[in-house]
Amino acid sequence: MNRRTFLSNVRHSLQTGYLPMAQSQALPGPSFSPFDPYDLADQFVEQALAVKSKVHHVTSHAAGCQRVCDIFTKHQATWFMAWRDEFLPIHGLNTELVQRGFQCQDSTIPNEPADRREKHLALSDIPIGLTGALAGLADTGSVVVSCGEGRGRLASLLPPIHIALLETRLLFPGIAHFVQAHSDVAKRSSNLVFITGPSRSGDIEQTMTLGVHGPKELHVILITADHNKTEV
Amino acid sequence: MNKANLTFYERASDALANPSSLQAIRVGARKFVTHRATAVAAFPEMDTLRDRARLIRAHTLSSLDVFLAEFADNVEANGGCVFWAKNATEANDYVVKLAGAREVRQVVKSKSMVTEEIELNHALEAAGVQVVESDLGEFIIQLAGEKPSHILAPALHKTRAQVGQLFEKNLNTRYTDDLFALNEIARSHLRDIFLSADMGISGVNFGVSESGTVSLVTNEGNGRFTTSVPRIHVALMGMERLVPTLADLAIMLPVLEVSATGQKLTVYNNLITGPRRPGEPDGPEELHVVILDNGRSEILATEVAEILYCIRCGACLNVCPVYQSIGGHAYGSVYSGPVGSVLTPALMGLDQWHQLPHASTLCGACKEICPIRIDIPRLLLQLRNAGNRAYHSPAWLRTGMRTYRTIAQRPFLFRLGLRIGSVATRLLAKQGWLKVIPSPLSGWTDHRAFPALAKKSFRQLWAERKPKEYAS
Amino acid sequence: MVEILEAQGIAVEFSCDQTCCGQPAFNGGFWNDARGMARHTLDVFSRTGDPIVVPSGSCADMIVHQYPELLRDDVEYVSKAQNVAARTYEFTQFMVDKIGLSNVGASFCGRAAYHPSCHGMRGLNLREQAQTLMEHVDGLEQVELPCAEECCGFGGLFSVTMSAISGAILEQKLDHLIASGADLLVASDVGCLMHMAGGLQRRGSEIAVKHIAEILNEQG
Repeated sequence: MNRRTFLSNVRHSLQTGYLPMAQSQALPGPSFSPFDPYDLADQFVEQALAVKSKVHHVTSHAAGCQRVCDIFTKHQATWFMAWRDEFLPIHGLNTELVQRGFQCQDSTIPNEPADRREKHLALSDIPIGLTGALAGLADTGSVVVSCGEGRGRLASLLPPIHIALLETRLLFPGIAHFVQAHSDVAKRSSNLVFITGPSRSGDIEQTMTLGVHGPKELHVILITADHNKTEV
Repeated sequence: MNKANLTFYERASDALANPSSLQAIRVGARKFVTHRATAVAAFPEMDTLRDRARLIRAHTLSSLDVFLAEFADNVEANGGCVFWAKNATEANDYVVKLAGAREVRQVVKSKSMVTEEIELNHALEAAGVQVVESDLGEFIIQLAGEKPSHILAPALHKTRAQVGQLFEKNLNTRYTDDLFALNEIARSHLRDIFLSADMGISGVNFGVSESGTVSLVTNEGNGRFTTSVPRIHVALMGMERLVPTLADLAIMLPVLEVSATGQKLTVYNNLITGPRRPGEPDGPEELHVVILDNGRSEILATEVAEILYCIRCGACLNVCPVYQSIGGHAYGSVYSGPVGSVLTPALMGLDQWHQLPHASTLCGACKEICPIRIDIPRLLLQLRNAGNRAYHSPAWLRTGMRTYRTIAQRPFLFRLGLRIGSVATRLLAKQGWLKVIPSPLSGWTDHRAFPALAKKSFRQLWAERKPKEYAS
Repeated sequence: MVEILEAQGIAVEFSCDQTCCGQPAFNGGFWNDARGMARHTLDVFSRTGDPIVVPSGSCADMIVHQYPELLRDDVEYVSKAQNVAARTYEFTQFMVDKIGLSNVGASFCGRAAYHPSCHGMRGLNLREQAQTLMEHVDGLEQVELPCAEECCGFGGLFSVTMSAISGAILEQKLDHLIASGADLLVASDVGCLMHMAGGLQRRGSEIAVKHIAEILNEQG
């Protein structure tokens, strides 16, 4: 059916349908009180732990880097895929990891269908994905991960372990606050995801089990660094 | 027995004759209710947000044509394609043709009730395309060859043992009923499919008009895989599933998710705005959004348009005593429970579905729990009235009701009727109870005794007393 | 109910011309029949302007909420409907909310479980009134009915037209009742009471079934 007819059918129906509480004016927006993101750190950590994320709260970039290395070592991982260095809050982290002997796999997907399939399958066994985060939500312990140049979707999706680097200054009380501050986020990014813990399912007997298709472990490195700290 | 030829009540009676098959539903529904209650207790703003959510839905539908146009414009501006499907046939044809044109051999799907409604899988399979469901519940029922029994949890009727047997038989795995092991089986089976499928098909939880964004809500991650890995993403959306702005979405998401699974946010809340953009390292090359009418514009024109406010949380099913007793399959449609009892006859016509609006005691538990405060009892009553106007009620009931009304408008006849009833029931009763009353009212005594009416009615007692003197 | 009200010094009138509020017809979708009965009921109750007390939550809800809607296009009766609706009360609602009376000096021995009927509870917001009244009954021990707010399965005509489902819901309710340890079931709606009593009779249960007015009318 063409668009004009489709919409005309809708318009026609609206003349007779009964829609309780309907009003044609846009609703006034809710109001938001100011907040200090540093005050939200404790709540964020508590909520993130409650959804079974692992949280590493560090106060320097060096400590954050060390924590990342520790996770690699603990899982005996060598390979990882990551956002480009300039998009991680710990600048130079990828380079540092490579210097320490870990190997970064490029995760750019080619356009040709057969190449595309092959590349996805090749990435399938990479154990760790490393990303930054656009923001964090304190009331649910969520990390907000967008995609764009140098920031792929796959690093937070494909590997069984996802490490998200989140700066405390980017915390928001909740999703409504975040959207208010980032009202153009959909224009800026074709894919935005609010990630709240490792993947899970309750589809069998309504009983939750962790680790289905998405990552089985989500590590949040929460970085409360002051401006004077030097980069890694 | 060919279930398709049975009436609703016949299917329900069949289901009741096998109570063990319904135990999983009852237990599962109660768990949903508990999870929701726990989440609501920790979320004091929920009630205020529900009020706002209702206003958002009402406002959206009242200008639905405007918001649809804005949504489509924005999808296209971001590089997506929009197809306007009047009905199931048009929607299925579009997807099948697209699959053919792009040489799609395998499709991976994340859960979408709309695709169940239009039976998209059948259409693709008939065209030689393999379709694999990736939502664990949908995956289970696909293996079992069954329809979903709940809007949110398609395999609510299955126990872990049954799932274990299903996997053993169809996936050649060793039998296990351990939940973690069952998840692992599904994970490894589907992983390669995610990575090599040519097309991913999803539903849409909400479309956002101001940005042309498709919002997808999951816990498993299958939604992200389906919409990020294959080169083509097709999203099917019921035309009513819009909100005007991202700020509105930020209200709707927790309201939906607390109501549905008792989580303030599920694990993955995905906002998809167009396909892969230049410079992005991954993502689908194409995004197609199919906007489906399939009878919704007709509902929009009626007294029961309010059912289109529904955001498919499934909470009404969980608290419905009828759903808990008979399960989802008895309803005969992908939409079951209270919302299904309105939506199915509204979408598909009362001719075939006139029994469904009567599958309710009108207890109102659904209205009480609905996050959008939809007055489902009112809608059921509207449909009952519409059904009777079209002569769908049994003749004995129509005649009986007219007779009852005639008597009730004539007090003398009514009083006489009470006297006759008293004498008759006392004659037939043993120790004050009747074991059987004749058809067509015998349904009562199939399940409980009927009390004999009192020897003296209230009216007789009233007539006998002298009026008391009152202090002024 | 009449005796309880009179004992409080309230004059009670009962018109023998009243018949049925029309709810079975309305719920069955037979709205023209329901309107006929509604008009008759409104004629009867428009003869005075006094408060109307109803020993049934569902009938009261019918009059209060459905009459004005059912008759909204009837120029002659819509204002009668609004007038009558504004002064109609369910019995426990009248006692506790309207005249502020929680203690009628009643006395009744037993372990009572209260079933809050759906229309009264959700339609008229009747949740605590009955329990408040029962708290003040000497000798009455209240026990909690598990899942009390769940429907008993009566549903009017549903109990006959979809009797198998009605019966299945009833079984759940009776299981909860027996689990509560009560020897007495109390409710405010005759339909629910008949349905549950009939089910208990079938099970051979000794649990007594009473309308709340019967409890409140007992003196020691």
